[in-house]
Amino acid sequence: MRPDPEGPQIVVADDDLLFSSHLSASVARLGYRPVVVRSDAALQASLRQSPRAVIVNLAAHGFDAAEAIRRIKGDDATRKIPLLGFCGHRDVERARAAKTAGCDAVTTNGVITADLSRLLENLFESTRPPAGTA
Amino acid sequence: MATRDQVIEVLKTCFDPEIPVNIWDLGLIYDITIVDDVVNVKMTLTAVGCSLGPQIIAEIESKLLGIDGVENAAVEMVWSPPWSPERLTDDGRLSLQAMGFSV
Repeated sequence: MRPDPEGPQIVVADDDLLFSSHLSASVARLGYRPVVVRSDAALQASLRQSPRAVIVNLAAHGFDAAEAIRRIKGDDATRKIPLLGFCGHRDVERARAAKTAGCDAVTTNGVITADLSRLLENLFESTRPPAGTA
Repeated sequence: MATRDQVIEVLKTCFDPEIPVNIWDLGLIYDITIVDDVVNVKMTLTAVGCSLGPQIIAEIESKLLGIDGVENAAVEMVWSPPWSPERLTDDGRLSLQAMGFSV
């Protein structure tokens, strides 16, 4: 599917060139506009565009992923943006820190590589406001 | 003196722990120089500033020293040009595609 140039954005916050290029291509294939950011400043700026979701590499080196998640979920203007974090399956500490910081879903490198579509469906379903509260 | 093929075979046994494809097939190796008993390798990583860099360098240097005729081995990490999927070997590309990567 070709991304609609006016369609919803999904931010990929990741400074790993392999994963970010893969996720960017996958997001575009699903019909969203990918926006890849590699720093905390760029991530903060991308939130002003009200993205449909943010995918965060929890092992990113260019920014503190858990801190970024905490800030997004602590701000009334951004707390409703669904967040999907990912890291290596052995990286239990990063996964735990992300969940504690408020990340809506956390998965592994292998799963996000193989099945981003299902993960996004589940993310949107789990973060959808109850009927009548939107 | 070690041959380039021997060095490449060793590099194919080394991995970035985050990525289950060896560093040669990932296209992380930019240059190999062999002069007498000294091997120098220039390489990159897919993520600048990756904290695993020193660990990967130590593993490569240790393995290179295991080649007959190599007395000194040094790995230099470089960041320019940045890595891109175009650097993958055919084997690396196939391996990543089998894992679901769009490369």
